[in-house]
Amino acid sequence: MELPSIRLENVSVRYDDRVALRELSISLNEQRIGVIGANGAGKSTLSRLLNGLVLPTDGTVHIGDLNTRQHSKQIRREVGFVFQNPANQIIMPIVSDDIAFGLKNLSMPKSERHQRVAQTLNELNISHLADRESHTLSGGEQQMVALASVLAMRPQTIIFDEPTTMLDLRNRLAFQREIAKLSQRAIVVTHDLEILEDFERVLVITDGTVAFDGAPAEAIAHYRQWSHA
Amino acid sequence: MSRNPSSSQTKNTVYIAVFAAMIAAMGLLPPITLGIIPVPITLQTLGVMLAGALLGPWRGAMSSLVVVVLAIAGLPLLSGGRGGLGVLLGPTGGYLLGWVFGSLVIGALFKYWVLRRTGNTARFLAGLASVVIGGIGVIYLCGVPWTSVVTGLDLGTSLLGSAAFLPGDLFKAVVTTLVALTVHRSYRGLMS
Amino acid sequence: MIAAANTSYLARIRPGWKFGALLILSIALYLISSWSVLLALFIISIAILLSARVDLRQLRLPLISMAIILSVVFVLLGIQTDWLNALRAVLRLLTMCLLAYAVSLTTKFEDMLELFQQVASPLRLVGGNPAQIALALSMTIRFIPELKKVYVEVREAQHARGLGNNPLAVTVPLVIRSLKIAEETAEALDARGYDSAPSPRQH
Repeated sequence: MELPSIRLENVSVRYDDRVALRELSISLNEQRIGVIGANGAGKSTLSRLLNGLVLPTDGTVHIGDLNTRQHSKQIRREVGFVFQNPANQIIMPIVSDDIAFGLKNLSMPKSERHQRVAQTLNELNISHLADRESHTLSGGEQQMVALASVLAMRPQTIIFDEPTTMLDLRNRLAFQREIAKLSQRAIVVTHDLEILEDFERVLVITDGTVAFDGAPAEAIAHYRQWSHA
Repeated sequence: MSRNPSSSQTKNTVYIAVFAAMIAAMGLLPPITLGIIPVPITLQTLGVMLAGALLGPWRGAMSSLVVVVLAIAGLPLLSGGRGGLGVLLGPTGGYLLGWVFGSLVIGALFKYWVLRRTGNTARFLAGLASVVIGGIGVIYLCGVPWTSVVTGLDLGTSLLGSAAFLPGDLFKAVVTTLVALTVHRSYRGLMS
Repeated sequence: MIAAANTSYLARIRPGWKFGALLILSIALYLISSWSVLLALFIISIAILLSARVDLRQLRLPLISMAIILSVVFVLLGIQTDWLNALRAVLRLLTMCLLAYAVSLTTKFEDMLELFQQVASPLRLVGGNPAQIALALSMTIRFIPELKKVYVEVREAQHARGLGNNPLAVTVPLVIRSLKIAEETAEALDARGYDSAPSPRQH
């Protein structure tokens, strides 16, 4: 399947008091892309540009032919997003209802929904969580459910904003493995440098610009050096 | 940078739900005992007052309404683990309706009056007045007559009965005002 | 007070009928002034509640607190008016209370909610959005245990600083964390492409 190219053209993001990203022009086509950088450098803003949660002050963001300013609804169907806080992504009291939520919005018939939910749970090996109450899940389980809710919509790309920051080591490793298995394109903003080992491309964001753009090992080395300075 | 209008509606729905959950949670835990007041005070009405003071008239009233609806439908959300139709039909049923109108009034007063005042003292006094009017006045106005109708006691007696809760409620009004004004300072756009 | 799976005949009657009957009976109780009729109705209500095969242990505490309130009402009314009047009032309240429990405990929570939503559906005409209402109710249920946890955490943390019983020290963090939860959840909903139907109201 041909992945749509993600293109940022002269993108700047300014808030009232500061510049989050300045004049960014890049094209993202790889299957596994990592984004690292210090807190506040602009990584989160960048990730949110890619599904239209944040619109650029200047410039445009395209996912294939879709423009985030005009086609936000379609884009959000094709680009999923997994957030840092596992708990605040689950909105229904029972897990299976949460995963079915997006499908219900698409007016998918009940039987098809059931099937899709069961299938998705199966793919992530969390079928046993289907009837659990959301608040009884551990952080790791919640993050898996969040991923399942995103996957159920069959997006082409999934953006992750620090998905493992709030998880313990065991769950971090488990989540890493799940990301590695994904057939979708994954763009991962993270502090967890181990996730990025087998990635194709890693961007280092510093002060709202791309300070480095290349292979993971070099990017990480660059980032380490920069962090020690 | 723009936000589309449907996302504001989504945001409102979420705020309503989270605050409703907060009001419910505040009723689920044991009351707080203060030395000065003999009756342990539950924080649940505090949550109702805060919903109005922080979310404004419409969202605040909706939050309270959600809690009332869920409680009457059967969830044990009211202080003491109460719930079900019996609460609505019983002597304290009017107070539930009072919660909704109370949040509405507090919210309206905060949005159009309190937050437009300048200076800490002026704001505090306006805020306190608003919470007392909405959180005590309106709520008792709904609750007391209902008690009379249901029990057959005259208004005076019903009013006297609710007077026992007055010190606690006044205390809660002060807390609400202080909390709300503190939060509004860090969250400038909360009610615009 | 959630109706545990009830197996009696009452569970099989549609919630709308039970609710309607309860309302009509409650109004009727206030129109009846004969204490003997009220007494009979009270006994019937006990019979109905017992026949509903509900778990009476659940009702122990609420009934005890009801009894206390009603004794106070009885005494006050008796002194202010007369004892017969007081008896009537107490019989009415008790009967309503028992019948209300009979309905609440034999109706599933979800069915009750659905009934309310049906009753409220005319609100659609004034701009209410049923999908939003349903979402708000579900989300609230989802977050109640979560916020309970936050409340406990905040209270414990403040307790460690000697401020556990200070309402201000407990409420401000609770509110701030609630607001944060709301913001993050709204963002997540947005990212899931949730499209709330546009409402004509401006809030």
